[in-house]
Amino acid sequence: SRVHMDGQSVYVPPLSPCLILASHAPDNFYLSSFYPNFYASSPTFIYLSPLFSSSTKLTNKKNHNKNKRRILRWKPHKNILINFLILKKTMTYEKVNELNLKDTELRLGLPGTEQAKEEQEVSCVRSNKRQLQSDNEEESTPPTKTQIVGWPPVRSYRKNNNSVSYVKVSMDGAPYLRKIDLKTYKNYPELLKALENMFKFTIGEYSEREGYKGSGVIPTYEDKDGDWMLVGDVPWDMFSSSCKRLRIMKGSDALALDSAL
Amino acid sequence: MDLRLPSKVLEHILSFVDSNEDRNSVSLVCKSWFETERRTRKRVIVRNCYAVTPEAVARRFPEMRSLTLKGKPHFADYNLVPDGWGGYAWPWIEAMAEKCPSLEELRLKRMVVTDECLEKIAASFKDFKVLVLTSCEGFSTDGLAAIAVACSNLRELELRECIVEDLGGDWLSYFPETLTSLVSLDFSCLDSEVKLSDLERLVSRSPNLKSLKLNRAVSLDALGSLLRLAPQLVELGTGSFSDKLDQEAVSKLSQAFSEMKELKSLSGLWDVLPEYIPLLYSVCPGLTSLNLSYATVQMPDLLELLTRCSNLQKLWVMDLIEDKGLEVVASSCKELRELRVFPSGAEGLNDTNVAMTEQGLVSVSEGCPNLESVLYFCVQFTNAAMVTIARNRPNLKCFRLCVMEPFAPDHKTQKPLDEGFKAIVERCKDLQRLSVSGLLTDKAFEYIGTHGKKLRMLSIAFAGDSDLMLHHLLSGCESLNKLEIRDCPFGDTALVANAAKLETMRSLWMSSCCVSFGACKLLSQKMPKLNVEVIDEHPLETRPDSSPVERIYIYRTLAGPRLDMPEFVWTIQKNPEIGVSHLAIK
Repeated sequence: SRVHMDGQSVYVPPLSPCLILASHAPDNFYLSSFYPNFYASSPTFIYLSPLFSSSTKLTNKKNHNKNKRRILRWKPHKNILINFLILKKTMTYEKVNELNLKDTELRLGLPGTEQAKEEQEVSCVRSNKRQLQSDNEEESTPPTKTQIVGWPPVRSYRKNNNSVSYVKVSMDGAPYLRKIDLKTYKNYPELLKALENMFKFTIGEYSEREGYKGSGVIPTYEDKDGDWMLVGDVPWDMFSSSCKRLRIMKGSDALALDSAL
Repeated sequence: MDLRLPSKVLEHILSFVDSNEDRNSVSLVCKSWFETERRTRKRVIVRNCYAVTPEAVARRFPEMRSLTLKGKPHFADYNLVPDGWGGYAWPWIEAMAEKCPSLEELRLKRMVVTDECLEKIAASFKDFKVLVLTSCEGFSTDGLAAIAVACSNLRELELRECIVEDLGGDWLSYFPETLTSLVSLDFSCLDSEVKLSDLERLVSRSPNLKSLKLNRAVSLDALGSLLRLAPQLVELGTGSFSDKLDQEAVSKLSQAFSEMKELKSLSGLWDVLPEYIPLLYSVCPGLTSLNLSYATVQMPDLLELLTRCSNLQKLWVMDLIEDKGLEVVASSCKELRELRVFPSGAEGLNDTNVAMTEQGLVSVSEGCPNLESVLYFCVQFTNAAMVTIARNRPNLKCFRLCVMEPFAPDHKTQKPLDEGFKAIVERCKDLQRLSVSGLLTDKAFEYIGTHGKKLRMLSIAFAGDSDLMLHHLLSGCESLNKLEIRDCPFGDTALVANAAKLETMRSLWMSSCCVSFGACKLLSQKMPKLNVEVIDEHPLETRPDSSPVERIYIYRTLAGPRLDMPEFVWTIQKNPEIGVSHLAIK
């Protein structure tokens, strides 16, 4: 697989650990990869886990976005020594043969470079989530942490019990925020009814193809990855565990719903 | 002249020897001592259910009354062991049912227990008294009903953080009216509501009830009536603490709490509303154990509670306690021995970040002279803090630090956390359990190998640079018993070079490291007394020697290869035709 750095590309042979010193990285650059097991931790370090390892699989097995691209921003530290980019890649034979090597390509580039190319590649990635193109498109997405299986080491029993389920609900044009406990609802109709009562609106009919028709009101939510999604696309359980915030948008804002199917 | 101690005398002497460690030593003296000891041992503990066969245990200890078993490796708690790996209780229960029908107590941890197992227990052990299941799974509430209905002398039924198929709350109603021996009941991990009237009747006819841990579905209102029926409780786990009660109900509940003069341990407190915290003030001074790790209550509501708990020895909280709260603990809870701070994951709850840093732990280490066990989840840490903690508390026995950012360096100096952990292992000479995290180089493990002489259990994640790390640990830590490693970059060489060490340990777990299949084969061939399990959910058709394995689990055993391996677990005995390893280890 190839690693590009500072305009130069370097081959990283499989089955060997590899160390790249990024000493002259520009102030602000992006690291992008289609590699599903890739995550960025803190602003300083990046870890690429072994491909085969299920310990780095995404925790939510029902996550339809396994192949979703992630864009990560890394601000390098002043201290050159800290700017270690430690890549440990160990690839199993079968993965080497099956993979399109571009999938494991790591590129360090300035923001905006080669975005278009990546966009094209994303569109062939299947996703059940309808992604909203809001006016935040130009803003760089905040660094997101991919879930690592079993990390932090908290027993899943404890994790399930402590899932904080209060979410803020805002409605375009309403002067105040409300907070609701998602656990008190068992399904979408219950939730939508509650929202209707709370904000005094009526919501249209939901269809998987076209979203909410007829009312000009579109319920959206921010998920764990920081993406804004349409309420109703994913199964209820998946929604209630990944929803961080709700926002009821008015249809007059002319949002484009991009269905990445 | 026969100088042997008559066995009757020896038996009498041994009746005073409780500790199994001592009994193990006794059994090594000579054959007759071995015989006398084994015939008189009542409490048997098997810390790895695959280290020995159930038949062998039953044969050796025919008078067994209490059996404790542990199944899956510790990292199973964090979903690193695939489902179906093993740890089945059935063979043990079947063997004991046949050979030790007088068994009274069964304590299982991380095992797969089915309804069939529970029914077998209920049917086979006439005087069954104690069932404690910790982190177990595989059974439903139907199995509990079987236990409830049949065990007429039941004293303890405890389900600690088990995964139970919850078919409803009826199981509780199966306790017969004649059952009056209950001492401890813990169903906190179940979801369904039990019938309150049945629970009340059970509690009121159990004069010896000392420990009651309710599940979340038991309302605050119900709690009041239960406490009035059992003011003698020593341990209480409440249900949900959030119903809206009227003034009268609140004062009745307050009264009920103040009547509980024996209460030493408090837990549960799910969804506790801040306005209800004062209800607990009356029991605080008597508490030695407080578990707030499910109580999503934030500062400053916690402060008044903590200042009143002057006798607290064990505190489990979430990081909502913040540094400020831990300072209060440091000044108020002088008897504190064990502190666990869990992550609340509360980023979505409010806009301010949870203000808990390394300073909180430093404060507690300064203020609490008896502190010996720490589990601390924190976003980041510093070497200086660990040096201070080590200096303050050389009496630490268990230090588990989880810096939640993998590879996070000292956030002030940006250096690795090597020096911090060095201070810990150097100063805390009695340290038995250590979990490391953050950015660590091989140096950290050199220090641990050099100084961690009493270290028995070590957990490592995302650390180290090379095989040297493993080599330092295996060659240096003399008392090492359990080693568990995930996502570290090594290594065949150290593993094979230190193969003999593995027989002195209970187990070694390595996942997402760089161990090759060839090394596993070599190890299996060299060390017949070990079970070398390769756990690979995505194995290759043909496995070249140099291909890395997902996970290995190595443990010493007298039982040989186990017969219940799923297809994703490989041992050399399974596929002997793969033959000898061609991997050259220098």
